Amino acid sequence: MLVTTRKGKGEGKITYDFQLTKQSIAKVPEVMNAEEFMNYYLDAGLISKETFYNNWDFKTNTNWVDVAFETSTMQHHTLTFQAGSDKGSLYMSASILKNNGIVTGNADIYNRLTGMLNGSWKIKEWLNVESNNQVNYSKSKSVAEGSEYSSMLLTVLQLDPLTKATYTLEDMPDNMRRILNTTEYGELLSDGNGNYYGVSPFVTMENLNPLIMRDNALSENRGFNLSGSTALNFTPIKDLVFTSRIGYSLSSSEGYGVNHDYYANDSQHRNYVGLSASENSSTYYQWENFANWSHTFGDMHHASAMIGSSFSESRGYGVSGSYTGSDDDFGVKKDDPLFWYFAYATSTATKSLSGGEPSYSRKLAYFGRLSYDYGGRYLAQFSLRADAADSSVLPIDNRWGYFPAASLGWAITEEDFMQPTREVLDQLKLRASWGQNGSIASLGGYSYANVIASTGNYPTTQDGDYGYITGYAPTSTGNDELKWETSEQFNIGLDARFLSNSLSLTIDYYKKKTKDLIVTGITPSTVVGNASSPVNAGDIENSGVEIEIGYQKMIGELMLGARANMATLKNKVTYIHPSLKEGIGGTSFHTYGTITRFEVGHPAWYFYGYKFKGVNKETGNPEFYDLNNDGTIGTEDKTEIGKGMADVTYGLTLTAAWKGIDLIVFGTGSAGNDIFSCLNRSDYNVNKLTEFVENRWTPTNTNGTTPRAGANDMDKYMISDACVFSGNYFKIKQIQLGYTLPHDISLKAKMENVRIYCSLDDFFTFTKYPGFDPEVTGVGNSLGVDKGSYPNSKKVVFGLNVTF
Amino acid sequence: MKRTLIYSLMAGAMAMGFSGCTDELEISQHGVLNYETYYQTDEDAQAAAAAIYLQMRGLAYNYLIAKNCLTDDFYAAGGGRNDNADFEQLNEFTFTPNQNLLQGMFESYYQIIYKANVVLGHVGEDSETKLRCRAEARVFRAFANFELTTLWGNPPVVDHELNSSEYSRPNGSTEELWALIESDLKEAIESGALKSKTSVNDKDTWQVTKEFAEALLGKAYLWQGKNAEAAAEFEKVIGSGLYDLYSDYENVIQVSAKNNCESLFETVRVYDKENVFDNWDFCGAMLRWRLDKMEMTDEFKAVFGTSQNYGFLAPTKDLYDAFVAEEGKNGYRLNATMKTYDQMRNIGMSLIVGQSIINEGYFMWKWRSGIDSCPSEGYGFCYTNNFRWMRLAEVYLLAAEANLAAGNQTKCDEYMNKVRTRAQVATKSGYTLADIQNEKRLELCGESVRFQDLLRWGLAYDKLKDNGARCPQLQSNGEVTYVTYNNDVNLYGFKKGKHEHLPYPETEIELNSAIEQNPGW
Repeated sequence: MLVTTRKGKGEGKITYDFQLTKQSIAKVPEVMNAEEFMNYYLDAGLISKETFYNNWDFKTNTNWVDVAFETSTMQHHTLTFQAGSDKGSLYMSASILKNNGIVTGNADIYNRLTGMLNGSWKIKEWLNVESNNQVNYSKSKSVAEGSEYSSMLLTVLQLDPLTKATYTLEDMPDNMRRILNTTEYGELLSDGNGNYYGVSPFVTMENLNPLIMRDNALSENRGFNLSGSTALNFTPIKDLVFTSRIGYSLSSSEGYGVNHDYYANDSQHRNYVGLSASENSSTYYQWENFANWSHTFGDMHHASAMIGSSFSESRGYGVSGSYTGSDDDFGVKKDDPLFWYFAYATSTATKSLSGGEPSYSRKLAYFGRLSYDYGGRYLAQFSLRADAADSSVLPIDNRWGYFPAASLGWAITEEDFMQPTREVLDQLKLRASWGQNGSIASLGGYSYANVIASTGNYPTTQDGDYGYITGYAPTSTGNDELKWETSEQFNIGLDARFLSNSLSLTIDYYKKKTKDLIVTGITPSTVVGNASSPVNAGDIENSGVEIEIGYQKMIGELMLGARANMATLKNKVTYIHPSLKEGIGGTSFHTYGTITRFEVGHPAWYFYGYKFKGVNKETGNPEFYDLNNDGTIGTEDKTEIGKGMADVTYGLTLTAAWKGIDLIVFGTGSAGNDIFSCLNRSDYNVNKLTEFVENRWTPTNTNGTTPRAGANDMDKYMISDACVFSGNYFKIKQIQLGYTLPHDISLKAKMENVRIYCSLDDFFTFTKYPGFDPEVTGVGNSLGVDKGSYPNSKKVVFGLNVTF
Repeated sequence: MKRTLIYSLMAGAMAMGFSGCTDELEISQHGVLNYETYYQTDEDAQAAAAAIYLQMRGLAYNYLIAKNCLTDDFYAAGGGRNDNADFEQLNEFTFTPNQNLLQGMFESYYQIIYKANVVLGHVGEDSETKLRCRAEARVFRAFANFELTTLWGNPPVVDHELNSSEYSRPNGSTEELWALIESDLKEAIESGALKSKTSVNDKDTWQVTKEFAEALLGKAYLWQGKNAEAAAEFEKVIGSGLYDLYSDYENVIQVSAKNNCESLFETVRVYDKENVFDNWDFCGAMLRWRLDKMEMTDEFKAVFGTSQNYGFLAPTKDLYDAFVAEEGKNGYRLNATMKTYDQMRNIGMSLIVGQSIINEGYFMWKWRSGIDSCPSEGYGFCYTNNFRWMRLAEVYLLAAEANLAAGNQTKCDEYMNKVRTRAQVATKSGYTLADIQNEKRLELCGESVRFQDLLRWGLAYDKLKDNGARCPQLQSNGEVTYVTYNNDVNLYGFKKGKHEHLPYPETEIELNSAIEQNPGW
């Protein structure tokens, strides 16, 4: 683990940083308005004219995005004290972060207090001590995201615009009034001022009125964390340093939740309260011991050697419980927030308890490194590490993984024969490296083990006194051969600087082969009849080029700079375990089937589905390519329809400084990746992205490019390339303008340095993707799949930076 | 001196860092047992068998909904068009190999087979209990293979726990599968280890019995056209004297009549307030009437509750008419099986004005479930009624058919009349196959047998070719209108050369290169 720690430097310094950020939702997909919604569902014949006449005032046109999101504020204050000398250093800081997220009201907040104390001291000629510590306390509330069933982001897209966000008692429609007068369905939620959150008569689904979704449950988390490391460095003889270092993290988190009684629609309601609470603590430590020897022979030969070991343990422990009411038991004694604690639950509420069971994970490693350089001209290094995983991760026989690495370097410009070119070429260095790395992915929980566990309780009596037999069966097929996943990387590159370091260039070519990829949750075949244990299922090859160019130029007092980087990536699955030769299914979308897949000859987790041919001019139904020419559209016609991985990612930074003014513009982008949009569904009468309906087939628009309303085969359409979009984008991540007060002025105010700045962050995005943020999609086997993840907000930042 | 001190300190630190750590990497797993050493005791054997019962119980949802959707007796129904489009696809024969219920059913059968294979592969034969568990495993394996064979035709044969080199299983041959079904059932029966009920009123025997195995064997014979053998097996069940038709047809599959004298096998659920979610079962919620669109009287609510009612599987008028033709509008069995909308209104439930549901004017009564089988602690998602896998009426009707085919009209008439007497329908003699077919449709409607029967009788095309042609919409005033969703006659309804077998699930086709899809899919 490599941690960069802040160290005190120079004479005593006090710094204060302040940042104020205004954030709002950046990019909102366009959906149908009220009239378009009505026309669509009338066309589809899925909602009757009467229903519209009875339930719409022909005026309401709710924009749910405005209901759900608002511009919100984040504040960040940091105060730092630091000093350093040749004896040691001190760094102390405290900071406060207050963030109220973009969901309306105070439903998503994150507040954090952080303190830091880093120090080191050379207490003896042969002993240096060092300790770095950070403690923080945080409090948060959050909303649901990133699932096709319960995401606030999806709700704002899918709810109909015909329903108002709130209704008063006077203008409340019948479908809500009916609930007011009963108790069995739960309560209509309101803002407390007589404005009841609207219930749609058109859309019943898991995604509710965002205000109900926000307020029907409360979930708060608090926690603290103390982490850091303390080390002793002995220098018994010249050139030799022994280090013994202990790293640690102690944390505790508590959760508290209330599920209110509420009514959101006919399938989503509750007439009782549920309470939950949890307390978890975790401890982690890592103890490393290593010896480092380095020596210079003569003037030119410099060699060093290192050997060491490391052991780490993390332990988790927690308890959680809940009290939940039922249809004829409210759950708590009074419907009052002061009673929403376990002590005031009804005696008949259903109780549940879990936890009270510690879990451990431990790791052991030995490592060593040899390096040599000749006058900074020729460099060579060799290292080897051996890692062992504990028995909850890998079978004992395969617990060890051995990972060597080697690298060579040649600083050509250090050669005598290069002296003549020095004027133009400041530095030129060639590098080559090869190495292996190990990963155990997310393994744990004895997933390789073929063990017997309970499958439930089976009653042996019909009623009354319960007799049960607990069923026991193997949890999975087991895999004794599970081992480390290894990635082997070969890299060759060069670094160059020209024209008095004003132009720099770095080029790298790499080839990375991931072997024995660990895949969990796979099904080799359903006739096996049991879940499969994780397997080392395949090899992936990645290769690419990374280029970075920088240029800096001073024109009078104007300093200009530009920096550009670009990386290409080619990714291909080259091998797959024979028992899985047909490929492995990844993430799925509703009940429409698997939409990502891992298969030889394709990019890892490519998008898998039908190829949309167009709309049948006569029927308005979608048509697909019959790839195997068997006359019907079936499984065998599914194919690669995209990939989440980008071919090229790039970044561009422009800087300018003139007198006290500085400007930075920084952007990133990607190209060649696709996004699988899971923002629509066809099984409920939900609102849809305009993209999918505005040019739909109708009897009068037979050239429409998207299927008619209520078309057949929409389950295939949803997993066809019609729902796959180019994920190319370029986003200006930051435009920052700063001003530093002239030194003489700030000194008069007893300040060494004063800088103010303002910045637009994540403000401009250029993309054709009709969904939310092209930069934020799923990860792992759902890379590039958009199920309504919380998008990056756009931010206006004002900042102040003062040093005393 | 100082140097020595430092060195020894360092040496100590290093040594501690390097030593004793691999032992720390052994962390024992909680709450599990060792696969290598389990399956030794009687208790282990029963626990392994209980896992099959649990698997079987979990199958009921897909089993009931899928098989009844695949008939002319029901509309998929639900909250509205496209509400669980999966059900509609089955009901209208527009489904593809990517069909969740069929996939779920297919996987469940193989999970039953797997768990049975675990018992047969690991449980010894050295005690009465172990022998019984082994015999039960064979019965379940035969049940699963019977279902797989009659629905899919030639599914892979899995007669032992597969190792990783055997994961790609080719199709089995139908003959091989029938042979395995017969030999499993015969061995189970002949082992003498299976239980039997102690008397006709024994409600406590919860295990699969010898008689259930015999009935399954009879069914396997009948499907293969071995009519005399089939009749002989059914005769054993009937002759055992351990079963009788339950007099109160209205409650024959109700929670109030669990394990009644007519049941050959039920999987058990109980109302246990502290462990309601041990009885999680979505099935009850899916089949309950769509009450959120209804106005109900307080009396009605007191019996049927109001939560989690999704209103799937609404009877067809065709089924209602078949009842009326046989026993008249006021027929005892008809009224015990389903109610008309008018009758429901009298009971206390009517559509809210302006609301409509997919329904042709009929509501299932036989499988109604109220708060007595749906504890409020389970939020409507728990269902405490047992699932009936077979009851004596089915055995009688199978026996009637086998005897008729084997030339024994008297026996055929006797068994038909038993069923009809309880149903309070006039008895007669000289029943034909068509009579039996009609009787079975009425007696066992909604009990998941018709689709396989229609396939076997060769009537599937005739009866199911129009499924999906139109969809009824019941208005609050009782009027039924029809909507046409499927315009192209080539795209809905039972198709010859295709629907005689269900498709192997898409996932299996994708994963298993050795399996071949059924013709037409």
